[in-house]
Amino acid sequence: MRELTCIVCPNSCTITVDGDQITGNLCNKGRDFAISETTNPTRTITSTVVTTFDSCPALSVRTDKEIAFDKIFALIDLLKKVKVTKRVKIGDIVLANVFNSGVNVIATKNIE
Amino acid sequence: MTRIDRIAKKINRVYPHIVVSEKDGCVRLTGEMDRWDDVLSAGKMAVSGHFFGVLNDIKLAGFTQPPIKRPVLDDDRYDGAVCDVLVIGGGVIGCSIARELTRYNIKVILVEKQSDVATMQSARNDGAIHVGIDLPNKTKKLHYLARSNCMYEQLSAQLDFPFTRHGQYVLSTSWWHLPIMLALKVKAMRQKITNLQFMGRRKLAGVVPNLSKNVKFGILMDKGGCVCPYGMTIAYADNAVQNGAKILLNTIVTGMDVTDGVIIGVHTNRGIIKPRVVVNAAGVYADVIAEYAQDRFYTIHPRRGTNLILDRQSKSHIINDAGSISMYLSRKLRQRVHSKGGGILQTVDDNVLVGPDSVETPYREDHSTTIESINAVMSKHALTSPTMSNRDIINYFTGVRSATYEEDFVIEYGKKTTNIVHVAGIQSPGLSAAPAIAIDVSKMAVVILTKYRIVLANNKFNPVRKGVTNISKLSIQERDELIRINPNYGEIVCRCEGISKGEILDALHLPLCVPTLDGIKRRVRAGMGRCQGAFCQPLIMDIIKEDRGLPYDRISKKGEDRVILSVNKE
Amino acid sequence: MQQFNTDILVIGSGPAGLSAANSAISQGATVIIVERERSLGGILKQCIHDGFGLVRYGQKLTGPEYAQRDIDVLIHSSATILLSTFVTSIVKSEHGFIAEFVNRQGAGNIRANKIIFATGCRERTSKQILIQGTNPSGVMTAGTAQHYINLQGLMPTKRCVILGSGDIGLIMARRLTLEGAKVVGVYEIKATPSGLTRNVVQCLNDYGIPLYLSHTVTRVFGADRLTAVEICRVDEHMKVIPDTAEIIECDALILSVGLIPETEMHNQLSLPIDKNTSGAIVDQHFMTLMDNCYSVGNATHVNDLVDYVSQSGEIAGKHASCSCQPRFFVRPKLNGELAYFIPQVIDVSSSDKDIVCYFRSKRDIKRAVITVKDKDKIVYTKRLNNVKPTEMQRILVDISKLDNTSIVSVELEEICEN
Repeated sequence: MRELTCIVCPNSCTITVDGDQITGNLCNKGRDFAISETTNPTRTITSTVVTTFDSCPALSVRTDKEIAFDKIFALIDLLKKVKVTKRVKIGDIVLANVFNSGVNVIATKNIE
Repeated sequence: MTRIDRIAKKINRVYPHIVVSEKDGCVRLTGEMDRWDDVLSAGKMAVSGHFFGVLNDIKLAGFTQPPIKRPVLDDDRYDGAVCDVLVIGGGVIGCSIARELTRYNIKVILVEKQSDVATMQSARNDGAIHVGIDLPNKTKKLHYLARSNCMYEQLSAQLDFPFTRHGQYVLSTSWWHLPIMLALKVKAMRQKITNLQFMGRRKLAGVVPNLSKNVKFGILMDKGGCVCPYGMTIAYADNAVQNGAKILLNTIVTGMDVTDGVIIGVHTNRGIIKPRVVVNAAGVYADVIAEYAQDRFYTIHPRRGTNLILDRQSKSHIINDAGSISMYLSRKLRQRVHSKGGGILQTVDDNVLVGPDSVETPYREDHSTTIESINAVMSKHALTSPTMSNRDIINYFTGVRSATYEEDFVIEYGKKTTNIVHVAGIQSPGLSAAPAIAIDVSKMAVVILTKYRIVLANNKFNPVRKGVTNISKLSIQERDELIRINPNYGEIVCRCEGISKGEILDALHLPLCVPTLDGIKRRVRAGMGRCQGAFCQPLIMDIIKEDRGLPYDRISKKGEDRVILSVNKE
Repeated sequence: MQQFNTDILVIGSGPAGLSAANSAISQGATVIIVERERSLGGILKQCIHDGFGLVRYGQKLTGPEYAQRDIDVLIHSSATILLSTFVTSIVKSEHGFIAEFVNRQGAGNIRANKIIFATGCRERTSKQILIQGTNPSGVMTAGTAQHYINLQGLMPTKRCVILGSGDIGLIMARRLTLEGAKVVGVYEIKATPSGLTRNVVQCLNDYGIPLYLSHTVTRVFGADRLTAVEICRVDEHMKVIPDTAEIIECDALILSVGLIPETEMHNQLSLPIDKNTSGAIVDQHFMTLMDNCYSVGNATHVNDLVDYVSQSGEIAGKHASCSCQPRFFVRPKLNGELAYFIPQVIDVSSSDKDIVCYFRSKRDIKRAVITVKDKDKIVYTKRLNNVKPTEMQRILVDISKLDNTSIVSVELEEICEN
């Protein structure tokens, strides 16, 4: 049996996972979270990358899907090597298909 | 029985293990004690008009004075530099003396070990311009205060620093104090510094909106005033630089070469400077400098004081366009609140300042605050204005006064060394008295100098210094015109105080440039409001970077520190 | 001098100001929005973490993405947008308000019939929580650290202590860790975390950052740069327990010790302030006690979620675009465990049915009931689980039965088990 705190929304439900039994979640998203958290925990990662633009020295980015929890620091190291030289808009891919996971890192800000 | 024997007898009655001797015309105490209070009280017992001063060399058991805070800088940039007068110390005393000295055609250097002028006592006080009603007759304190008090209108206009004269109020909780106040009235009439007017509760309530019910009556002394203490020091320093003085920041005096009673070299972290005359305005370290000059005849004992700054918006319920308000406390009350002096003050920037308290300490440079002092100050002044609360506090700071055992200013030529003037023991009302002190000391230095060279007036001396215009005080039309000439005045950086980029750039372009966050804050108030720089600090860093060409990781708050530890972008 | 006339003036372009402007424009009003920074979006610009917009969009957006949705609407609308423009004074005039401002073009004034303050909030500083000691660099609010890291790519610390477990503090703990700094711990004076539980889990637990409850920083050391902090344990009354001091070496102390509504503009109009929220007193449309003057978002009370900040802007913007009828207030009396309740006054002359109310409790209550009464008659009641001071509650109350004879009281009570 494992007790989890759901991080999907601010309700922060306490979910109990006991084999196939999942209780305590207020919604289905909580159920999905509990399953993934007990099998293959994943997170959305947000960070920044360096640019060559003075108006925007740091460009905020995020993963467009969740990535495996144990890949977080490897991803951060990858992002440290990125330097954006072209103007980008929200949603533009900054780093494609990281670790062949199908996850892209996308811009969350427009460079004006 | 000789005089020194009599003093020894008096001290040894209480402290038998203390050795009392005469040294170079001074009373010297040696030995060891367990309590700082005892060291102080022995020092006070040694005071005598028949000697130059007290050398209190009693050791406090188990205590070692932390080493003097030194700048990191270490080079030979000024090795062999020659000057007529070297002023040691960039407080209000040192800076005002340097400025007065530039009235002559002589070469003046001022050294200051901190990264800005006015970082110690001269900044860490309440800025009150006193009226001297509490000062004993025939003291130097009263003499210089009386001469200085009336100079402020002209000085603040010439040097462009903020000054207000809203008066000083003293409130009383007991009709039994009335005779004391009447005596003060007589004293005021003799001193001729200020008028003294009695006020009833009704009139006082117009000044203190939430006046404590215990207050029975009060007095108003109309010549009380207030300055921005570091603003005044910076103004003096700027004007000195404008008129040719050199101010070396981050420069500490580490020793002196004295031959036949003459200082021939002054050792610093930046080389040996060779002055003709030395002015010792070194504040809490004045006696250390005197020792370097082989001319020590007084002892500084540090005395801490903490002041609190309250949010401008608390002003309406505490104090109403008045100068300073203090409470005359009966002895019993004084003991209860463990502090004397101080008051509630409306600063030149319209904040409310409360304090200071007064705590003896062996530490000369410990400016750290304590919760005990904060509580003591707040509880004491709640006696005047009960609505004041900790929620109003936006900042607080502690200063260390440089008191001598004689508790008077030392403004004298050297006793053994012939080319030094000591300006020591300058504590309250030292700020108020600075203008006249500066005039006299500059003349004393010139008297010594004339033994070496001819001293003439500096024909190019310009007494006028222009500070940074506070654009938030201009009318909307004036602002509009100014912005059209220079758009930087239209870009507001500090939102709490409404300070523009133009003003920050002006601060960076003053004669004495101090390109640190604190340097700017002290010159234009950016970062001094209720958010204490949380919003504007990154923006000011950008302006310093742009204007001075400094990279982010070289910009500091006040000198040697770094705000940013690493930069991601190359 | 620059001269503008408008129906509605919105001051501030954070989430509250953006949605107020957009909702007023969609109702046909003419709007000027004034922003003191160079770009729109307010503090959301630096909140690069995700989790915004779950209520409003059903998506987990980052701060800049959330803001951009409103910005995109605004910049394609009829609104006049004044950036890098700072309002220097605001006065009531015969027909509305006159705001004086400066920007790089000069000074000017805006005449507006109505005004909406969306000025946000600011962070409490180390001095406001009476931390003692020296005055070194390296003591900063979480928001300042966030600005350096997320907007400028600058690192203000290598090894830090975070004081306060508010959401910004927790989020910065994770952010700093990802950027390579060592976060020694997050210290919280209260016995429970101040931020959302999910943030404790995903920001601290995920990265093994310890959270110390009932601890606080009492002193800082270091003449120039911070060298260490002193940490003490506190008792249940949040008083420091003597002899529990521990010195922790660090180069930064990052503070997340509470937010205070920014009311400097409100004060220029002498608007009454609620002691409990530190923001202006408002009715259900976020109109202050002065007719045609609104206060929305965190300038009114500090919200947990940006979605509700936007919502307050929407309500006010919509209401401001209609003409203001004479109002009649009833002032709910607060009872029981309520820390605050918004609206502080209810305009019963309006034709509203359901109004949105927000409240916080004074303490943690497992099972509680909130009741709104008119004299003895129950107008609204609801049972609630796990009510905490750190989590704002939101209810919809039908006020159609209230009138100018109503005497309204609101009560939050604990329900005993069984």
